[in-house]
Amino acid sequence: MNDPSANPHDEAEELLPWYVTGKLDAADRERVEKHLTECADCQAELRAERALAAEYRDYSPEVEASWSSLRERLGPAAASPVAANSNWWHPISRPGMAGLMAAQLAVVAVTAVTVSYLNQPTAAYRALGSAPVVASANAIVIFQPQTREDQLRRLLNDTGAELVGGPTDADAYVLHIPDQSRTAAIATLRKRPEVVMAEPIDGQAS
Amino acid sequence: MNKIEGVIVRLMGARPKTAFERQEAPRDTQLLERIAARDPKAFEQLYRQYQPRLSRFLVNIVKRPQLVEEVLNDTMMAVWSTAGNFRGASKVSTWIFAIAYRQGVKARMRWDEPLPDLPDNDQESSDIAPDEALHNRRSHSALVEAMGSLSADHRAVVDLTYFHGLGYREIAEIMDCPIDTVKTRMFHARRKLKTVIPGDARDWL
Repeated sequence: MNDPSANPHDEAEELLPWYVTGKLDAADRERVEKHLTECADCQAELRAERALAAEYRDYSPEVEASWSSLRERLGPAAASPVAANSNWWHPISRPGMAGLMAAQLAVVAVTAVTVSYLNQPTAAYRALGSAPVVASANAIVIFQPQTREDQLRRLLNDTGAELVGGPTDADAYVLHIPDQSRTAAIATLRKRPEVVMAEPIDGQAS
Repeated sequence: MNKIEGVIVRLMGARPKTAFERQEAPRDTQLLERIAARDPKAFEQLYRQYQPRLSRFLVNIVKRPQLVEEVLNDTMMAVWSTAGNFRGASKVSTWIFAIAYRQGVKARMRWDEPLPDLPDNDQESSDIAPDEALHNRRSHSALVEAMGSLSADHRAVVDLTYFHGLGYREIAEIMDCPIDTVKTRMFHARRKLKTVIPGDARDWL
């Protein structure tokens, strides 16, 4: 099914969307992860892919199609700024704006982590369970599957946690939390309804 | 399974199921069997279960909301009349989505609309006030515009991947095309979408 002569870079790049949505089989996933550890371009592509997938969650083709046909009935009035403001901007673009800000903030966070990764190229990407996690990772959290990206981001911000990696096969995220606040941060995470579990991962009791 | 075991299972690699997978229980197969035996209650249940997902999927293909309802009902009528032919070679959801895809493509050809894939976004962005255009462009409408510029088949692959959470093999089955075609369509769609998404990847690096 897979062309053995295929370029590993092209192959990994093509598979990234399903890597992000967790829909690759084990063999595909291994190939992608192996390539990610050695390709900075694909790491950047993965970040862009996550941002796109997150933005897409706010997109409703039905709303767009219905609005498009309703707008035709409004005629020329729809083109005036006032009409555009009251009819177009409010119902549709606000979630989009939230998505935009979410994507940007997520990128700032992820970029900060990545910059430190890029200084140690062999440790750039590791899946939990396939290799030891990077040194700075000291907590793991699993969110409810329906948790939205903005909720996830707020929880991380509120607890001072940085995203180090994930989602893993188990949909877990690997975090770094400053040592002095880790116990309290994990306790806070555990109380949140969006959190399935939150655990320290270096054996220390929390 | 108690909570701790649940956590361990998750850590060992079992994924929490998506809405799509959760609904794909033996229940679907049983419903289909009852539908084959002409049970309208089972048919209604299946309809209610699939209507939202099919409606969203179909609007990517036929665009016009009025047409979506018609195609969706044609799809469900095909399910009603051919349920007895389902042999379980694929998942029930894949089978139903494949019927919907064929019906959608047929409807698109039948209506043969002049601009099925190109909404009047070009005109809109030149007509509205510049600051409004800027706001719109920098937010959701950039994605809307980009999706509008894709072909129906590209939109379908994007939606089945990101929203419906399907793998490329299942998408290939639904669209009755080679796996490589699915991958290539997704690849080109991503290229196009990323250039207009606010905070483009190139700005982040």
